[in-house]
Amino acid sequence: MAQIQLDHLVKRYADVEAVGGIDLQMPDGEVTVLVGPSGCGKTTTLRLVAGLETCTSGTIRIGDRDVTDEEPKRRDLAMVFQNYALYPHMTVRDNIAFGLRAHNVRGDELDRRVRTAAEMLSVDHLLARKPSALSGGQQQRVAIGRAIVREPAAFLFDEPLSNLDAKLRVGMRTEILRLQRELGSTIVHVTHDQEEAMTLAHRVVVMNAGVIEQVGTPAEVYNQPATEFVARFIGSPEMNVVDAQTARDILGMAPEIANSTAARVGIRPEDVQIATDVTDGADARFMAHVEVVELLGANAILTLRNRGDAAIKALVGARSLAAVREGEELEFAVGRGAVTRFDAAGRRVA
Amino acid sequence: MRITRRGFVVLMLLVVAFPYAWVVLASFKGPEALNDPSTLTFTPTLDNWRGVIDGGVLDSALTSVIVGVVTVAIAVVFGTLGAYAISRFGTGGPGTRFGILLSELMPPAVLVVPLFLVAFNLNLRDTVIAIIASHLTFVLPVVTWFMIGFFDAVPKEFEDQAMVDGYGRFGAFRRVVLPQVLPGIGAAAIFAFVLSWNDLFYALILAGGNTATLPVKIASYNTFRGVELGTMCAAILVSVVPVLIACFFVQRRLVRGISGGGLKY
Repeated sequence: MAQIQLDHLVKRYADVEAVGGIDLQMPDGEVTVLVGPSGCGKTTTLRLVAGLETCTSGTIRIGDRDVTDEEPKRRDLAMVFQNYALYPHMTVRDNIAFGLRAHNVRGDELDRRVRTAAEMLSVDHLLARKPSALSGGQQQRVAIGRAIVREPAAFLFDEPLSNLDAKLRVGMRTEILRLQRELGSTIVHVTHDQEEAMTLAHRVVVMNAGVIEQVGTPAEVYNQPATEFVARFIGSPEMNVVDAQTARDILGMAPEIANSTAARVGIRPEDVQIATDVTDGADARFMAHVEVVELLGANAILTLRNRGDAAIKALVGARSLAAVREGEELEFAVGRGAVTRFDAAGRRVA
Repeated sequence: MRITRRGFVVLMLLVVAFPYAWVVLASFKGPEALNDPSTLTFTPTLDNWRGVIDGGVLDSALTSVIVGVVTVAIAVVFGTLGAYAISRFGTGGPGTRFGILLSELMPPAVLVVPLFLVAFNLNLRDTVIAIIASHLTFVLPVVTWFMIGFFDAVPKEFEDQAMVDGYGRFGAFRRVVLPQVLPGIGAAAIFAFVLSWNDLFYALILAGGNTATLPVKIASYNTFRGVELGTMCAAILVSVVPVLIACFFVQRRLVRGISGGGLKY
């Protein structure tokens, strides 16, 4: 296992800059998740690390080796693609053994390693089958098995969970974490799903338009987002962001909270509560119509609309719903210290 | 509704099958029966088939096989590699993909004179080499075009995966891409073989004596004394039956080629 380091990495296509000069360290034995909307450069970054794209400038180091100009096969990485890319003409056994054969592993050693990997992922009973005879989840496991059998310096995962249904996805997420803990692997994982990023990562790298918006632990990017983009991208439902003016006039926020350095303020939906539930002081209190109630189980998402246009989302406990009816007006409050402030350029300010 | 549809199929079958039936019957008819198409009964004879065997039709068939196999082998090797480059790297620019078929639109008469001169100057006239070279002019583009479609259908991730797993570009091509386009290569090869097998024009002009291909041989039954229809029909059957069998396989392989691939989207 090894750490991966990117210095001023740039990838330019004819007229677009897909990756705009990123510096990033992905530590040994950690899961680094690149997350962002589609087209943000996260997959390109991963492909640059794999060597499947050549970078326009910058350097890539794996461990203490500069691999910037190395072919993919010399980088000692394993990759899992979104569509799994299992070779349809080979059995599961040959698929898993493929990378080992490429590295001249033969005979008993090969059999032993294939079997161990297959057992780790509970696909050992499927070894004789062709990929087309496997379910989506099984294909996924085989693809991961093919990666771990190589014992590479690092794993690159390109949205490997996005083709699975929701339930299986959560299961595989746990599985990946278990394997990571067991093997102590360095993993670079690309996803557009912020929840997946939060649950998998030691380190979350939020990307937008080819640059890194923020690098931090999941808690950091959630609680101290560097920019408005990160604040809105991480967290579900999305953070409410309103003009400071609106916050003062309509949400009744105290001027010292929506202060003059702040162009906009952000409030997490879970910080907007029914006023009677907020006992220890509030940063804002306002009346709003409950437009829609979406019950999630333990929680419910309320869409609120007040005098202005701003639709505010609130995430309240299901127990508080007794007092709530769609179309009725209620008083809501924003918990103390829950407001995040952004300047005109979208950066967080104190 | 169903009956009219079935009736239509039967009608079309008759339209298609009638010439074959006529040729099969004619190959067993004597000269008198051939001269009177209205007779429904005749005494079958094997004279025409003896004529085919004694008259060198089988030698011509062998020449055609040699020409076809060599043409196909060359076309498949170069066509497959070319198609891969065009499919993956856009070699030659966006026009190449379809531009490659433009050569099919060119009348053979345009090419045959230069080819004849080249063959003459190189002393290759009346050799299979001249015929093979001429056949490549229309077989190679078709094979290339055919294979571009098959390569397009193989997702790029397979090669990416193989390259990350430890192979170079060519290793990935050979181990991962090529096995998946094999049905396509098979279909292209059979299709290409039929094209070569059917060619009369180039073979007639570039070679005609010792290296007459089967179509040239068949045409030679149209003599100055008249058409030797019976023998010609027997020779036509020698030519048509392999093609019919080949087409049957093209059909099956084409379907396999298009539906292949175990990828999930």
